Amino acid sequence: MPYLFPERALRGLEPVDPEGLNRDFQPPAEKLTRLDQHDLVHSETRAEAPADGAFYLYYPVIEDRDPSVIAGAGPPPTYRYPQTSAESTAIWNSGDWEPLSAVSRTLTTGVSLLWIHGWVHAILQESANRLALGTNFLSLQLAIRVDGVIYTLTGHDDIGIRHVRPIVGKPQRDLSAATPTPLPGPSGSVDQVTCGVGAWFYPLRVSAMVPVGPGQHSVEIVGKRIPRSLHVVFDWITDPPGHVGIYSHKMIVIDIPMWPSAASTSLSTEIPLIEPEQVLSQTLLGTDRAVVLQSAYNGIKSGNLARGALTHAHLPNPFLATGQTWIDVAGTPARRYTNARYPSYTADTIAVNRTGGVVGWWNLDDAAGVRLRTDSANSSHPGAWSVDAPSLFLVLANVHIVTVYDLTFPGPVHDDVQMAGALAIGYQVSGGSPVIIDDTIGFVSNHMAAGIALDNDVDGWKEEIDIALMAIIDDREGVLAGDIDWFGVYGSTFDMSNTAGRDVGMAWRRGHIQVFQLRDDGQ
Amino acid sequence: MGGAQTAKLEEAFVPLGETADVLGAAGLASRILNFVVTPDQMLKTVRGPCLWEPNRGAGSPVLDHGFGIFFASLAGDLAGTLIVRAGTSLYRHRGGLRTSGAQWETLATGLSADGRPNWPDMMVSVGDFIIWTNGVDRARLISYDGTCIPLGFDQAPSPPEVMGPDQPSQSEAASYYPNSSGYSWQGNIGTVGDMIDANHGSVEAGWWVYYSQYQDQFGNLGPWSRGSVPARLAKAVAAYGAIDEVHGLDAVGAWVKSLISLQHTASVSIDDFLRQFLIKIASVGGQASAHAVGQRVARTRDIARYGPSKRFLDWSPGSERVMLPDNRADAYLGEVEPDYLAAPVFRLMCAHGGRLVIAGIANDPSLLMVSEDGLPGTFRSDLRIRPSASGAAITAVISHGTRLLALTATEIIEVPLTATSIGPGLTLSQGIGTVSPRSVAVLSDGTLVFLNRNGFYGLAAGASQPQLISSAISRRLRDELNRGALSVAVATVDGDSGEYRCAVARAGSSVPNWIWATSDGQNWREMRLGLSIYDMCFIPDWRQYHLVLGNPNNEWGAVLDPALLDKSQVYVLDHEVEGQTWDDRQCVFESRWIRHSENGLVPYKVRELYLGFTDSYNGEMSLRFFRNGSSSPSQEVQVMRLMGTTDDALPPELGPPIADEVVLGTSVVRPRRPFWRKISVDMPDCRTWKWEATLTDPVACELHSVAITADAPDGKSHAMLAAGRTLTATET
Repeated sequence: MPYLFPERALRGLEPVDPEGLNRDFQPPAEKLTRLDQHDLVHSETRAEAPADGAFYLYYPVIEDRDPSVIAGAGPPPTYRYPQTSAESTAIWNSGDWEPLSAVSRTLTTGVSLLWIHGWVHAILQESANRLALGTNFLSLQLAIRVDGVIYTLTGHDDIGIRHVRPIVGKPQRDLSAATPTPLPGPSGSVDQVTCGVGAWFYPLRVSAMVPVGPGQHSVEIVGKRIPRSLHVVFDWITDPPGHVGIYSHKMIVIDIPMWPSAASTSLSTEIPLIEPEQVLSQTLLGTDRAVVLQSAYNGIKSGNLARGALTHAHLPNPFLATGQTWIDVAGTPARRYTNARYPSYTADTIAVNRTGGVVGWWNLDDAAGVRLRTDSANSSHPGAWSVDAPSLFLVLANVHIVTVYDLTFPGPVHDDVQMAGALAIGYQVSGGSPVIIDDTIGFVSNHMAAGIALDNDVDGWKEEIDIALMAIIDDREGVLAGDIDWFGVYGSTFDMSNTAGRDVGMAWRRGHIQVFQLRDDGQ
Repeated sequence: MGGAQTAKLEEAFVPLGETADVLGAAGLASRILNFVVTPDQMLKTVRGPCLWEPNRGAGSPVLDHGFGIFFASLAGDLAGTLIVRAGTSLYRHRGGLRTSGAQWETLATGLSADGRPNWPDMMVSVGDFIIWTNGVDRARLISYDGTCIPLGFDQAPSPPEVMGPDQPSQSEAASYYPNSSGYSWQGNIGTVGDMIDANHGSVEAGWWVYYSQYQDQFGNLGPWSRGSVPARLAKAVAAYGAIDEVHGLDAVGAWVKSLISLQHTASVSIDDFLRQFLIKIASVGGQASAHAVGQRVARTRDIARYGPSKRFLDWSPGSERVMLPDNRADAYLGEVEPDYLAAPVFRLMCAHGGRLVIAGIANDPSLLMVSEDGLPGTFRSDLRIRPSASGAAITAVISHGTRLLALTATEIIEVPLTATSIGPGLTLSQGIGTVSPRSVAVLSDGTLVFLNRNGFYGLAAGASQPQLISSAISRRLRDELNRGALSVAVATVDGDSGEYRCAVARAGSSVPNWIWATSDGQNWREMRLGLSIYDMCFIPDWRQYHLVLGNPNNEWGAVLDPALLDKSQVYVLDHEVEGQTWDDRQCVFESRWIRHSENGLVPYKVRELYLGFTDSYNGEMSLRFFRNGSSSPSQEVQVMRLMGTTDDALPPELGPPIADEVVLGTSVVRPRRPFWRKISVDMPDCRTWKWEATLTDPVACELHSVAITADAPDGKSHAMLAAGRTLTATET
């Protein structure tokens, strides 16, 4: 045992007395009740899985909802908007937080830190004629709620906040007149702060780290609609009509205990003191003591450690593997597009070409052809992801969508939400074909309203929107058939307008994907 | 035989008749080398030391030249943390990691490694941190998880830049609202004066100054920056709804006077003149601030009216340059912020009342500074003092009971300290101080022990005057101590034996290699273990280990490994492991010069010496006898077995078996027995006499008692007993 030192190394000419022998045997026996960080091999050399509940605990929830748009190239035989019947939750204009149906969990923790990721696919639903106009907004706020308290949310928590702006925006005298005319002077102004996200289709992701105390906790992803302007109540004339439909959504709560779980058990052993006049024997020294100590030490389990005995340096890395990669399209304009056609919600069809309107999912790439895939040249983990050990994959991706537009239309396009793109996370099992994870599919549409766009170039008013994706692949039960060659981000387009001659394209500039392979939590 | 003073120190008077005094064996000795005191007050030959990191096959890890070792149990006694400074690096021990060379985690590199340091490194535990300093480099703060950052900040950030309010140029002024005086940001800052009502009054001219300071992840604060360029507001007067008389012709050409409120649109109220400012905070950069996690920002109230006190405004996280809009009215600023000092380079420190007390500051050796409670890297400017009236350099700072003591080479000064004030210093002692800051330690009875040029002094808890407690060994110290190397002495209190142990450099060596120990502040033992000792510490947990950062020397004739030249390793004192021996190291018990008449003029014949032992080793001890002050032995060396098994009075079968002779299944475990050995001295004409017992490692013994018989010149036989440990009936 390291760092226990006998008072004397018994030499051949020394007397064998009970006091000396007891001082040889008792310290390691006492040590069993005091195991701490100094008695453990550093995590760098530790590979074994932790005992049940000893370390991190995962609580994934996945709700898979197909919005049921029609797939295919060109004008579909009958086009459909996302079906309200497929919604998991409808968020109406109640002005209050509404929990999304599946993504709520109640869990019991000790003193813990909860690492929470939530993702929803939100779609604005309103009457068909207004949809065609495309002039409305999702006006959705999304938040993580833990025990009733709002943590990370999109936008500002106080939607009525008064912002004072510099008052130099315009001349306050009319200098053009012969005699300058005084104009109304400085004033405070009420600014409309960023509160609700506005895109028609919007895959959204929120994350939070929330420290919690011992006990039962509820973790939810909640959403609410907010007035489009600073009204105190919703106005059905000017406020967002319709409702927000929540389709696929998911959440993972990772419970990171600050202290070992209550399942730890004490560890001690009985090493009786050696008394005078006892016969020195194999039984006295070996069977009753050395062997007992040996068995006790060999039987140490991670749950035997005292609370707080370990620091992060001693715990096994919760990640079996991690990796990330990115693309950043160069050139002018800095973007790349595809008009590959959305093949349907469940089809794993891969587009053979980026352009040409072929049916299938196109793996996003940059101008040099570098894919947004973990085996690309930019990847920090280009190799395969071993599934030899049970694990859970958490994949987070973001794509900077420049615009969704009509390739055939020479001028700017705006407010046409019927031109849409789809993004999803895919992967390939070694020896298999690429798989598009259905519940990661999220839509993005042309939605930028005229007059709001930041600039006005030949591409029209651009969306310039960040689309977040998230995948949870739970392989703790070994459901994957083999190692994973790579994870990637895919895109496709579709048109809900049934307009002949239109060719919807989706352009992106940057993309990023990161993969966490989390060690099995033993659950 | 020496003179009177020497005799007092080194002689023992054993009068006629059986003494009623119980003298410990130690009390009869003038020199006890390489013995330790057992809990039951026996003298036992020293064991070990052994290496803290044993050879697990790839050799025992070797560190560069050692400078400091320290142990503290952090994180609520859950994280035992052993820190070592060796070479240019600071290391933390990583318990179970057995990979060769990886047992020591490097916390910091690039530290100064002076081959001949004037003082050892110093480490203390305060709060849940360990503070390290060497007096040359910036001190480090170490937390339980191995975080190691500089202690506090030695520099202030650049002052914030005030970006607003902006003053338009003369040509631009026409474009702005006239009554705003060109200021374009409306806000809440400004002093309203001459106010009749909200529409007829003024905002007074005023100015405001910003400051910023670094903050580390544990909350330690650096000094405030210089003040920013002031943000200024000019006086502005409200004018609302002024009615001008307008004269002109009416529709029919008549000259009329009409009242037209032309200035309604130009009117302003006081609220329009209150402003907000924009400041830019310098980014965190450079070595001075690399560990800053944010900056605190303070602002004055309107200096023209409230003076320059800075008050807390905001905290800006991160290390980037940030723009901070400030729209906080004077009334809503935080508390007045104290001024803080930069954390200096220093070599002396102690923990007192949860605060870090530092001294020995580079370029200002007479200054003592005290940190904020719980923030060992934060030094308020008003918690500093020069304790010595003469401005003498501080040589040690000590927390002793409830007192904070500052020592110079010749003074002991009590420094009164409260949460908000310090000083003035109260000089307890003139003439007695220390030059050995690391020799300071506190015995279990509260006695503070430290090394002075005259020897070891003790200051009892609450006492004001230190007492020389090493008078019994003052001649040894005077003759055999490297007095030029007192500053490198290191001491600790061994929790197992309760002893104060101080390692000093013996004459001829510049590195401590000689340990003096006392448990009662009167009797002293010495240990020369064959180690050069760079530093020592004690592990106060249940293991009770006394650790030494050192390197083997050839004091006992050992052949040194060239690979260990100027290196260091950690050793555990008083413990040993198989295979690690210290051959040829001697243990010596040398008695004082003993006289049996009061003045030593009467010659006695010493007949027998009885030594009481406990079974400890089946080997021999050699004895030499001296008389009348001569250093030449008066007779041949006698040898004596150290196991009682050959003593007729103690049949072998009643003693513990010898390890080599153990027969499993037959031998019986027995306690070690106390026994007497009688040595026939037969040394006539002894006015004074002494004896010396020597053992060579690995021979070991436990000595508990001494008895002497001697004949007086009158022929009468007298038995005189200088009894040691009183043996109880059960033991005899």
